[in-house]
Amino acid sequence: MTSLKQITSRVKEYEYIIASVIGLVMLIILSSIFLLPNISKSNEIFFQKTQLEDTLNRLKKKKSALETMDGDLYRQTLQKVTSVLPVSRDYVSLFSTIDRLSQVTGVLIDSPSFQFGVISTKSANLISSGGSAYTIKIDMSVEGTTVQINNFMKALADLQGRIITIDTIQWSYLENSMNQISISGYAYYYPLGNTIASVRTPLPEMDKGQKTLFDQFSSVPTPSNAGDYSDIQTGKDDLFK
Amino acid sequence: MKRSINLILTKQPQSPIFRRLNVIFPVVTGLFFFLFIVIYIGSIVYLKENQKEYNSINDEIAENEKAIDSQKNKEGVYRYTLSLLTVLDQIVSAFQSYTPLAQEISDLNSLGLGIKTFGTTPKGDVSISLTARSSDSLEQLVAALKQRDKDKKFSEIKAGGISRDNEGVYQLSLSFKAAPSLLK
Repeated sequence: MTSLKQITSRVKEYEYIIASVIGLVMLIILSSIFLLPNISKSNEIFFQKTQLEDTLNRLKKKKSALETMDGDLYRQTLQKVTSVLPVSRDYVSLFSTIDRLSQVTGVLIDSPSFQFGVISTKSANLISSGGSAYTIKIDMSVEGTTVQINNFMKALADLQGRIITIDTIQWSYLENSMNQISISGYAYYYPLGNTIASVRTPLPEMDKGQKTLFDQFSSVPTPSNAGDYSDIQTGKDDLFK
Repeated sequence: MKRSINLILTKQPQSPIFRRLNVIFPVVTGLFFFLFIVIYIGSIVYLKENQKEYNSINDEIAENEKAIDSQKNKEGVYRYTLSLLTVLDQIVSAFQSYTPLAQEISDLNSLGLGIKTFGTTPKGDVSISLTARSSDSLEQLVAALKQRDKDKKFSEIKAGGISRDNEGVYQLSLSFKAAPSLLK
């Protein structure tokens, strides 16, 4: 009985301190229940907001770039580029290129032959140095003077028709300052991709080489046999759906 | 004899430390409570503001995406043009017309030689088949080749078998590696 009274008396003596300690413990519990989740959520939102602001800035930049882009100029340039590097093998344009080169340089081109190869595009040969462009092997025999043949070999990459690269040459000197060369080389084509970038993917910028070629193409008139690329879309996975 | 019992306990005087703690603890607790309430309200306000901004940015993103989506045709043309130009740039950069090499070999003809054929590979391995009308022409050829070796136009020059026919014409074959600048 006496000890209970003593305890009560002690509690009364330190009641302010005990009540304060209980209050502080309650405060810690309340903070962990209400305050800490709020702070954590605030941090999360702040972090996400920063990311969203970056995304927004990129989108604004992309939107602005698209708005100021001359769509018709790119469409016309694309038509010209695809006359040099078409989406399919397009043997007709290859023969046209050979004919044009013969007319322009004055050489006589004898029996050009192209590898017909596998019909499926995906099974065709990929070039190692040209990203995902495909090659068509070409063999031809060309006759002309040294000047004519030199002009012919330079004109193979003049970007006025299909681009043809030389792999090996066999040069024979004939009589009357005439020459005959057997050329083994490659023509190229680049199929339209079936996967395209999402709307949030930034627009790639042109490097120096691309800019030079773009300026070169945009300054020449559009060829009459160029394809129509007005329906190329982006922002979805399948172009044909 | 009358006896008396003192039921009132004599109050023990508190130590100065406890007297101070009795004052400090409630004040500190009150202060912490006040801080808790202020920080809690502040966190709610901050959270709501951030949420508002977050939603507003999200709306703006959706708006921009819609605007970009409406120009997807233009973007597709741009991207495809760029990928074509990338490939074309690689092809054009690697293009070799071999015209400087052809010119260099034609120059050898002026030494009284009769070059019949020459062939080359993309790595610049050249093989020539030629005739020389006299030993003087051969000496001139050797001198010209040495000069080209010195100028670093040709390297690894090797002469194959040499034969002389009844008319005294020498026939020989040569091989060498042409400098990359001659292949462009």
